[in-house]
Amino acid sequence: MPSTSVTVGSSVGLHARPAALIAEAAGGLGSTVTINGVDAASSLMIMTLGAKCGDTVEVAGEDQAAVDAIAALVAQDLDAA
Amino acid sequence: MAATGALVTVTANPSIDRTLVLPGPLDRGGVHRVERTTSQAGGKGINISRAAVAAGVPTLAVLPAHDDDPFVEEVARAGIPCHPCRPAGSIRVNLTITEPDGTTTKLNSPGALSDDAHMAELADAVVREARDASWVVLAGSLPPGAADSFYADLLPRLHGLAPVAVDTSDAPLTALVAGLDHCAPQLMKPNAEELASITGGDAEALEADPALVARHAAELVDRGVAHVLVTLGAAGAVLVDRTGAWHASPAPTTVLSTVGAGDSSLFGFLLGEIRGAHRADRLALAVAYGSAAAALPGTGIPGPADVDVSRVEVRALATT
Repeated sequence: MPSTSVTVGSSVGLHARPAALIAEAAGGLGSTVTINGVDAASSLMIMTLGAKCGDTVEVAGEDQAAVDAIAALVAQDLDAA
Repeated sequence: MAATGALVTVTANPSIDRTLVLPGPLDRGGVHRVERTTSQAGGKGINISRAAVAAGVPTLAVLPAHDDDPFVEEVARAGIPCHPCRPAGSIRVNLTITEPDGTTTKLNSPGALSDDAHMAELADAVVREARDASWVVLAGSLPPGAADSFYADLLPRLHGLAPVAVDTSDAPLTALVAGLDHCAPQLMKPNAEELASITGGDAEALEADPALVARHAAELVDRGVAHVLVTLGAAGAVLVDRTGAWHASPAPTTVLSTVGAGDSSLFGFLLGEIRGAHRADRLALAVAYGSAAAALPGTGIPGPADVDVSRVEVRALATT
């Protein structure tokens, strides 16, 4: 299964707005993507990870393009957007 | 509140839960060859610390035990930081004997007799650790010899240090409720039976009627408890605070063992609070965690990857 390690880029970590933006994007993908094992389509489950800016998380899923799309979002500073 | 601090759990009456798996039926008076044995450090506080470790939440388990007790070794092996206090004796062993047809025989030990000095040392250790805590969780029964008011007496000493969650039953719960007007915890997590023992009514009727549960739980909120989380088994859970009441229903779950489900629910709520989730979302996490624990065998404690919050339905309840 495709997976990749990525460093969290958002200054507030995977919280509030970044978690919501990632979950929205993951919900629109055709396949399931997980971040550290939790469903990336759930902003609440992303928040439970407590991942801070600079932490490394594991993005995984069946589809490489979907994994890459979510990994790219995790790496961005979504709070600055 | 220091959200970065440790989730401090207190296990006043810990046990080693040992399971002996027999290859045939148990024969009283006979000699048996045991097929397999498993052993796990048990107690509600330890279960909650276990869930915290799985979720990457800093935790510390405070409990009475000798430094070299097998219990402390098990806890260390599970990656749980531990603060052992002077115990009254060795940690009790609870034996479960299982037979191939599913028959289960349990032999529970009472534990060593504690005196006031032991309990005072435990209380002092909890107060010390509470200074750097995100929450303090007082969960489970008290050892033989302890005053029923141990939790009730500890609450005022923790006031202003850290928010406190309490999950207990019987006499320690009664003592806590008697003292609520003096000092109330931030969270109580009764089940239907425990709620009925506090506010009256019938546990079965409560389990069937979330709105009735909310009205009963609101009595505790009126007496100063900030959040009341009532777990209702297969019917989910109800959360009541000053702003409202909610009921969350779990997705249909194939139940393997309900042991540890209530502890997992309590942790799910605290995880949501620690991570800054909204009230209804904390309740959804509590129910999803409870379901995930029920779907695991034995005292299985879930991690976030086992939890499916998307299948939990939350609705607001009228509180008038």
